[in-house]
This record gives sequence, C-alpha cells and structure tokens, in this order.
Amino acid sequence: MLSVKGLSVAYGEIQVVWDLNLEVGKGEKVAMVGPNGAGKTTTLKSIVGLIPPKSGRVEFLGEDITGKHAHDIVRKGITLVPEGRRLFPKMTVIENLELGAFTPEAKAKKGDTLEWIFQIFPVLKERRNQTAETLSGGEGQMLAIARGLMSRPKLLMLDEPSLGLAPKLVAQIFASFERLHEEGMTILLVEQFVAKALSFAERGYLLERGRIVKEGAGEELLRDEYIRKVYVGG
Amino acid sequence: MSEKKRLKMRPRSGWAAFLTLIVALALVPFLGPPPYVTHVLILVLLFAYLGTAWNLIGGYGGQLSLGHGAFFGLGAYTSTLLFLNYGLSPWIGMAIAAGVGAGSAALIGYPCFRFGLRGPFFALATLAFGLIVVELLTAFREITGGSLGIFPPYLGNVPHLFQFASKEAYYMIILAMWALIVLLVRAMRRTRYYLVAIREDEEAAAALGVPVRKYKLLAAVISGALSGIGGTFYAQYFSYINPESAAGLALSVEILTVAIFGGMYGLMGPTLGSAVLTPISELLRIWLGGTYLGVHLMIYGLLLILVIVFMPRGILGKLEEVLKRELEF
Repeated sequence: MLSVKGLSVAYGEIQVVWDLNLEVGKGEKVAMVGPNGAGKTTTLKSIVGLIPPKSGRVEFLGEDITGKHAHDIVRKGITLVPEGRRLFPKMTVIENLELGAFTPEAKAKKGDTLEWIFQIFPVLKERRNQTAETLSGGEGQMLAIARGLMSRPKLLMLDEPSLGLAPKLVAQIFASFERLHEEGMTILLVEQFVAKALSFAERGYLLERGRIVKEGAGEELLRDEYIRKVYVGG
Repeated sequence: MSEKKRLKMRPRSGWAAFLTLIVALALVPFLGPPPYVTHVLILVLLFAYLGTAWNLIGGYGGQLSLGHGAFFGLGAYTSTLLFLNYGLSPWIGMAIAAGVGAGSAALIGYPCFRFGLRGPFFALATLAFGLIVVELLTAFREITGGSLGIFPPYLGNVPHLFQFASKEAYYMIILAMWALIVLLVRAMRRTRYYLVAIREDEEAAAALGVPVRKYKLLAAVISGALSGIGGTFYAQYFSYINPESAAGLALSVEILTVAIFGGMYGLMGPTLGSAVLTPISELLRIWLGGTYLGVHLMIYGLLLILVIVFMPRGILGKLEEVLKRELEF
C-alpha cells in the first residue's frame, strides 16, 4: 500500500533522514520505533507532504506521491495524527472533527463517520459541545485520532499517541487501534514506547539517527538482544 | 438535534439586533442631524467596513497586514483616474478598483504564502508593500498628480457618476456597503472556519487536508478587493485623494487598529471598534489637532495599549465575557 524508497529529508543543510526504505501492506499494522530525534516524525511528515523530501520516492497504492501537497495526499487516503495532538483548543469537539472532514468525499460521508467514531470513542459524544481545551489528556488524544479518522483514511499514521498518557489510558488507546485494525484499517504507528508498540505491530522498524538499523516481525524485534538491552530494559 | 443543525444554529436575537441596527441607522438622516454628525457617522461606517475587510485575512486568517492602505489607495486612484482620463463612471470604476485591490493583494500575498512568510515577516512584507505603493503614487506625478494628489471636478448632483450634493446620500451608500460586507463575511462561514484553524495551528490544519496556501490567498484577495471598493467610496466622498491620505501607513494602521481594538476574532468586532474609536479619533483631532499637533495620536496610542493589555480579545471579547454569550449571529 505504502512504499517508501530511498527517502532522504533535510531541514536546510541539516539532513535528518538518510536513504530510508519502508513498506506497509494493506491491512497491516506496522510500528516505527526509535529514540528521540531519530527522524520518525520527520519521516511521517515527509510521507504526508508537510516536508518536501530531498530525494527518494513515496508511492501510495501504486501512485507516486513524492513531493505532493498535504491536501492532495490526505485526499488520496493518508492521514497523519500529529505528535502532541495539535487540537484547535478554542473549537468544540464537533468543530475539531468537522475540520477533519475536509475533502468532498469525507464531507459526503460525515454523518456516518461521526456515528462510527462515537462508537469507538463514546466519551467524545458526551463531550461533543465542549471546547477541546477542556478535555483531559486521554480524551484529547482520542479526539486527535478521531479527527484523523474523519477523512476516512486508508492508511492511518499515528505519531506518538501514547505521549504523556497514564498506562491505563495507553491501553485504552491501543485497544482502539486493535479495533480499527480488525475493521481493516492499515496503521503505521510511531512510538517511543517500544515494548508496547512492537507487541502491537505485526512488523516493525527501528530507526536510529535517521537510518533504519533493524526491521522484522514485531515479536522478533521484541526478542532482539540489542533492542531488549537499549529500549525495553529487561 | 443533528450535529449539522447545531453548528448552523445561532441565536435569532442576533439577527433581530442586526436588522434593527440597520433600520435605525437608515433612519438617522431623516432626523436632520448636523452635517458634522453625518460626516462622523460616514467615517465610522467606512472604518467598520474596512476593518471587517481587513479582519478576513488579519483576524480570522491571523496574517497581520500592515498594507491594507495600499489596496484601498490603489482602488481610490483606479476609479478616480479612470473617470478623469476616460470619463468612466466611478460606479464601474469601483468594480475595476475591486479587481486592482484583489490583484495587488495576490501580488503581495502569493509570494509571502508561497515562501512561508508568517507573523511579523508577513506584517513587514505588507508594510513594505504599502510604502512602495505610496512612493509609486508620488513618483508618477504626470498620472497621479504626485504628492499634491487629485481633485476630481465637482459636478453637482450626478448619481450615475457617483457624485451627490448631500452627505446623506453618501451615508446611505456606506451604510449599505457596511451591511453587505458584514453579511458577506458572515456567509463565508466555512472559509472563516478553515482560516481560524490555519491561524491556530497551520501545520495541524495542513495535516488534515486544508489547503493552507489556497485559503490564505483567497482571504487576502477578497480582503484586497473589498478594500479597493472602499477606496473608490473614499475618493468620491472626499473628492480629493493624495498618496499619504489615501494609501499611507497611517491609514493602514487605523484600519487594523479598529479591528484589533474592537475584537478581531468576531464578525462584529471591527464595527464595534470603529464605533468607539473613530468618533474619539475625530474629537481628539478637533480638540487638540490645531493647538497640540500629534497629541491626539499619542492619546490614541495610549488607548490602544490599554485595550491590548486589559482586553486582548477587544471590546467584543470583553462584552461577550460580561454578557456570558457569543455575540455572533
């Protein structure tokens, strides 16, 4: 579904992603893990068109989308739920969700999508007329995910969804990912919470200093001695 | 209630208040006010109109323009020069002024948005643009009359040439223009909504698929066009324009002051701002302008500082806080 080949990304003179290759198959759940500053967020932003790549190629559903504008890429079916939620604090829950349904296709299906989202995250239905700034951390993250789902993506990319959440809420968020996966959603997850991410994902990539240093099945990576020693701690 | 309905629903009392206000304002000339009162009301409505136009890109879009005087001035010069040189009625000139306003807004807006000039950088770029326009209007004296400006000939009461013998006629025109611009901006609900998202978090909006550049440019172009139209009204009403008064920095600042003072996050903010500020500015000019040159500007500046410190969301924001309800309609 998504195929990234030889992707390099730089901010001016400073290159942060080097010759990165990444594949996500239809219906797969894939995790990209690694330390802070490894280039995970940059990779996601580059895929979705927020940062133009320096070189390399991004294909989605067989089509070259390298360097296209974010609004075109969202329309093709990739949504990024950004790190740190990035909600519109003064807007209500519903207004935030409405903004997620920008494309004409998504607008047409808005009613159905809302119903679906309220099934996955019932708390958002209760809070729908509150402004986003009044939500708790967990609710805010749910809203960020739900807002991403409003565009009816084929590929959902999540950047650090567990950031700053209590373990119980992390479990809840991951349960919603499992549910989306069961419904056929393709998921690319970026996480610093390595153990959680790799046990969730079918396949994983370890990114360090802008390069992929390990890849394989989730369980396999979890058993990897280097990863255990450096990232899992045990 | 469906979600869609909830979003569209606004208190009806707002509509009633708006219509009552228009009717009340339309009745004012029949009370026979002294000419000076009519003049101040015309200025109040003109700056309410300009502030509302500015607010589209400056308030909703969050791109602080310091160059709106330029769009306004180019509009004023366009219709006036077309009339003087080709006898074209300023009514038609007004439409062309809108085009010139839109075009010049695109000229400065496109490169700024293309290369990501935001915040203070956008403000500086528009400031420079405004200053360049003043310089150009001054330099091409064969066409524009240079710094002395232009006096279009007074022809008496010729409605089809946008000339009227009475102030009341101009008052009615600017009242209609103001009412229309408020309704127009109100009707752009979706666009405003995307602009606010861009203002709050440009990258998040882009990640959701909002074409950020397109919406910013759209807001700038519409705002520029409407400012150009305002310029034509100004030229006709004052029947005198010069580069400083019709396109200068002071004008640009006055436009954005009205919007920020009144509350740039709401539809009626600029109108409120003008209703309070324009009369104060006029009165100060009369009381102090002759004897202590520039003092009225100092008082004006002080007022502005106080508002920004104590009412960051402007008079409108303060009112909404006190009344505990949104003053939208």
